[in-house]
Amino acid sequence: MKLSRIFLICLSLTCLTFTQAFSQRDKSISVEFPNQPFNQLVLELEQKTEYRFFYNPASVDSLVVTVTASNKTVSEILDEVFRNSEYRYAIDGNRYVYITIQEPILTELPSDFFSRTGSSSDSLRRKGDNSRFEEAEKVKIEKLITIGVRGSTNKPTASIAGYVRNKKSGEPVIGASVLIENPLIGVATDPNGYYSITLPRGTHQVKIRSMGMKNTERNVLLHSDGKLNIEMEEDVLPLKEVVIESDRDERVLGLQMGLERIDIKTMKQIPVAMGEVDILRAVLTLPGVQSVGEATVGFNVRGGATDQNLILFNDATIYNPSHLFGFFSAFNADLLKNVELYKSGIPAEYGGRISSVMDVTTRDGNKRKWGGSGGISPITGRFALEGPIVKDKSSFLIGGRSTYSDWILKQLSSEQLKNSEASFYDLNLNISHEINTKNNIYVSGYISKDRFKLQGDTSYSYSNKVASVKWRHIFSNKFFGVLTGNYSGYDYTISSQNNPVNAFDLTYDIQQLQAKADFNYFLNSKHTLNFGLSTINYKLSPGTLSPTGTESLVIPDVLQNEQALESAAYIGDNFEVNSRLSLYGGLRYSFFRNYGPRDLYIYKDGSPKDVSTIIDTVSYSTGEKLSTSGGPEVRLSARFNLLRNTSLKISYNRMRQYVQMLSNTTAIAPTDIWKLSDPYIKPLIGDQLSVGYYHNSRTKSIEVSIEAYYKLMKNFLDYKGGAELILNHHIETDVLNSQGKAYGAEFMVKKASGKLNGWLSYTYSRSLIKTQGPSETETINRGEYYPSNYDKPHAVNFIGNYKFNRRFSTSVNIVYGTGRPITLPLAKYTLDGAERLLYSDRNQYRIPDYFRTDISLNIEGNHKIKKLAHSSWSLSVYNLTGRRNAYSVYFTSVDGIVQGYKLSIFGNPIPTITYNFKF
Amino acid sequence: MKRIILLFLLLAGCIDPYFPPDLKSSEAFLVVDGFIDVTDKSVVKLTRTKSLTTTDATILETGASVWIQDEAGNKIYLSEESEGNYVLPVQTFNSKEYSLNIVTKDSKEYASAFVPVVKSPPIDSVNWELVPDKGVQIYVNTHDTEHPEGFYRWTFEETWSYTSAYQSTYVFNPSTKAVSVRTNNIYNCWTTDKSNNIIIESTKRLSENIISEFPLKFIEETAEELRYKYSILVTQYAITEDAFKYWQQQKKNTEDLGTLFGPLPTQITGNFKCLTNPAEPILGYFHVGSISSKRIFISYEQLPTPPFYNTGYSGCELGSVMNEDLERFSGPFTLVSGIPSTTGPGVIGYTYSSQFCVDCTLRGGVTTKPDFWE
Repeated sequence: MKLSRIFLICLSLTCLTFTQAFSQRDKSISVEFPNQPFNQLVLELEQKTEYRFFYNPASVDSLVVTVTASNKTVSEILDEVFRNSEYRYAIDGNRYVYITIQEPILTELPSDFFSRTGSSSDSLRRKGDNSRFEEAEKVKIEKLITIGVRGSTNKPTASIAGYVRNKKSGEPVIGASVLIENPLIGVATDPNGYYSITLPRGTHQVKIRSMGMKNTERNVLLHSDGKLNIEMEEDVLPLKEVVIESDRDERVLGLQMGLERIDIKTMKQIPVAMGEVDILRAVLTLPGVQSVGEATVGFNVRGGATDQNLILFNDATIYNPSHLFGFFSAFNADLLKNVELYKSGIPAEYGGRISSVMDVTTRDGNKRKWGGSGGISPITGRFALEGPIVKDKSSFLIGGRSTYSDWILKQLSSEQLKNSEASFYDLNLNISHEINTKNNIYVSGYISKDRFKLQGDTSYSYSNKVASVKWRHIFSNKFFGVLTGNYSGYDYTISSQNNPVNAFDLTYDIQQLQAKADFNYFLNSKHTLNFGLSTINYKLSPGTLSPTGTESLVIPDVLQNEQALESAAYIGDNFEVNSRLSLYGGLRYSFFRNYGPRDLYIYKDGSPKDVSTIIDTVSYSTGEKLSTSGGPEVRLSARFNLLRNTSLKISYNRMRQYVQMLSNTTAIAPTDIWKLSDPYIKPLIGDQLSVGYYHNSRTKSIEVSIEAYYKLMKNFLDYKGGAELILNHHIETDVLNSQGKAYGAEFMVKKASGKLNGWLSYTYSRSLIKTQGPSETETINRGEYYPSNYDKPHAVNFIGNYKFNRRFSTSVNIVYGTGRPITLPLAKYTLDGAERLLYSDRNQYRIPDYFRTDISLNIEGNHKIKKLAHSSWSLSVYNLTGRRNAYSVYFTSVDGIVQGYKLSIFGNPIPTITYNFKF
Repeated sequence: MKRIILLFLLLAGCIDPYFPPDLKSSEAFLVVDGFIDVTDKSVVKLTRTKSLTTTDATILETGASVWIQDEAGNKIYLSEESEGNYVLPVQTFNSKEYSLNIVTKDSKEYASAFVPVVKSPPIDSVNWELVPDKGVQIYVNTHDTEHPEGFYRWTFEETWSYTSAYQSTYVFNPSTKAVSVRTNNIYNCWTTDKSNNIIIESTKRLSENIISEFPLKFIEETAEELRYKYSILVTQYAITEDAFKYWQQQKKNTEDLGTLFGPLPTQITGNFKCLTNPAEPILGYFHVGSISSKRIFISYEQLPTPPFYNTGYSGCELGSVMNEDLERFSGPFTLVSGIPSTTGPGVIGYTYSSQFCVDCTLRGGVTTKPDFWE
């Protein structure tokens, strides 16, 4: 809206008349504005009068006004607002109000400031009245913003802090770079859009860069600590260049390594299979991230298991990130803001899983106007609504998705599919409220439910429930804190009703409550500290079998509940040693305590744990300690700039994990059980050392990076042959304590901009496990290292985008990966009249290699700024070559004869046409 | 953001045959297929594993010394009745537990763990239920009041009568070109099939040791089995919990694999050990006990008539040959019936069909009625 006004300013240049007297004839109004942003006043005045305001938004985004007026005209109000300020206004015959700035302040500047920053001297040029509007035409922000009070401090530096927001929706812009180029100092905004940067006093051109936003600058004259809120304009066109541009600075200049950030625009470019933008599918295109096959939502990061990824959804843990057997991820892409995946160098504020952290954040609702969106596809339908609760203060965003796949299954002719059922839904609610400039509150809730029945009579259902409340308080320019409370719950039910004698319900449930406090302290230009505390209380019902119906003979069977407390304290320091070297040191201390009530089996010392070696049972009363574990987790990173465009990074991190998933399948299955550490199941400990080399070519359009890592995993769980995981009262007798190691290297070449852009990555990685128990039954493959289920040594990913013009673009995605390991039968034999198989050592063979090509063509609608809705078409073909990639290979005895089969999920090219529009 | 997907093709998962790459050749390991029936003559069969791709006949292990042994060390030897088949005649078993011991002709020693004698309770009933428009579901029921929990394995043997496509009443002699009346039966046959899948169930999770309506077998209503008369002989084994786990694992390894959430296969070997070389696997599971069995019949009269039967003779056609052309009649054909003359007595020719369509024994059946047939 305001963007268009800027253009209007230019159009109306010729017919400008400055008539203040005109306004005197207008009706009088009353307003009361205590300490409000100027924008707010404008909105109010525009609502109450026929006046329309035109101004450069950048020049007023930090302007806060206090005005109380009753029965005054607009010009009287403006007189009061701008009294003693540098702002001037003018009103023309159309009741258009133009707000501009007077220049005299420039004459007071010390002359040495001009020589220091060449670029800003342009903007400090004294100009006549006519040139003001030429400036606006350039959209460039040429105003000099004075921050702080002159002469109030003698320190050489001062800090600027504030929020970077989306001008249109008022949402915070996350991960935007706020930087000056000479000397090079930069910070990124946090998840609330907040930044704090310490700069030498004087004039600077502060540049603000973010994906999908128009680049903008602010010229500041910094006297002492102060605030600067910045509004960025959305880039109307989904230009790939913008996305990568922000990335490219970060990859070389940022201290963080092994961090991948994907925003929703990047996700939308990746060709899709089911017409739904899926964040997990997007994450899988990144080097070092793999999955065991299609239709699995679990993913493996750098040789870690699927349960070793901390998946956070607005700070709360998600235990099952999938819908409909993994065809869809649990996250409604329409509501997401961005996704960050940490593969190494994980900062101290994160803990609890050893492989990676995937931080998914949703958008805030639009604080300025109401909006709705929805979608419908043959499989899913969804709706979202957002809008202000109190304008510019608080907003809500509510969204839901559901399927009608049940209905589709009923229409199919296949007898097997007709008797199947599958459905899911999820609901999101986000509320954000700005109490005042120092206090913000965020509330978020999420619930998902899945239900399916495959051919048989057993039905499965599972549900995620998540809620979080976050209070953010700014103590001072340099110090802020966030207090978070959240709840995560995951449960599933398996039920069978067909035979009344055997009818049962089997349920599983895990719940966690977390409280945490995180603080950020921008100590000075060299040090940024963050520290905090966190505690999680877990409560698990690992399995309850109950009969259903009066005829059922099923004996109720209830596994004992598990309770535990996981607490942690951390501190981290980002230390900019000099322009070439920066360091991060973090320490997290985590502590885990199981407590009763619980009965614990005691096994005979020195014998393998087995039902036959149970010698005693010890009862623990409510709250009594069973066992404790814990320890320090060191996190270190360093970045060294070799040349201006080349850097070297190294990081080491130790992670501890106190809750593990027990799974006998290769992918996440709905029946997998999460299990807390206890006296027998030791917590996982992961250590990772990684080094990386990053280079941007001189033109910055080609980026090369190499990262190598070595990982050790202790107390990894593996299973005895034929382990029974469901309703097992003594799971410790069926699991084996293993060690894992993983190593690899990731190479990536990225062309960031131009008509042709994209990336090519190659990953070499190994993931190996060794299980050497004290006895033969506790040893696998004679205690030698063997490949894990998700060991895929070679992986190649190619994403290419070519833009024909502003409206037509095409994307290609090519994926290649080594087949995952399997255990193959070596020989057959006949037993009781039927052929049976003798299997090889575990994971000694591989399924055929994986190869897939996807292609999509995007057609944008016209690019008028103002129209009812922005629309685009997307045509895509998933698995273009129709290759039947093996999901698994198995051998089965059909009528007594053993035959090998290959199961593929997508056997054909899957074309999809999608129509998008946005309003 | 609004999105409408206008076109979407349903995906279809697909299963293709898979031929594994050349596997490392492994030596042939000993396989013991044996059940000692304490109430009957028992046979223990010794064989060797063979490579997956081979179609060779099973290698039988001959010349081994095989005995069972009780806890006190008393041995009872089995004798090799035919190649690889070691037989123990009916006798009394006084001990509670036995082990099976083998010394092969290459002097390798193998022994099973001691296993208890587990006697099967009688089968209460084998019943069936008509599933309208689908077929027949056969169930087994049993109970055991002596033991609080039971572990069961069932095998079954199905027998049914069937007929060839056409009943031949004439025989053609190709050398004499003479036609005579057929005296032997090649129209009515009986065939027998054994269960291949592992069928097991436990009552461990039930408050009483009762198996109620456990589904054993489903027969499509259009199956040939139900065209005339069908019979099933169900054999029930009561087994130990360890044996149950073994069979359950076998089932998982060969029958339940490959589904989306299917378990990973594992190496399983049973309750035998090689004493000479502990690393050498030996396959099979040793059971001692008794069995119980029950037979039922299902006749077509008890069932509604389906729209058609899948007889296996769907491609069969009748041809005709005139008397004067019989001289040139040859090939793998069999005469079916005569074409009567419209003007007088006698036949003017014969209908014929392929041997396969006329001779039911060519599909593996026998023409002699089984002893138990009602």
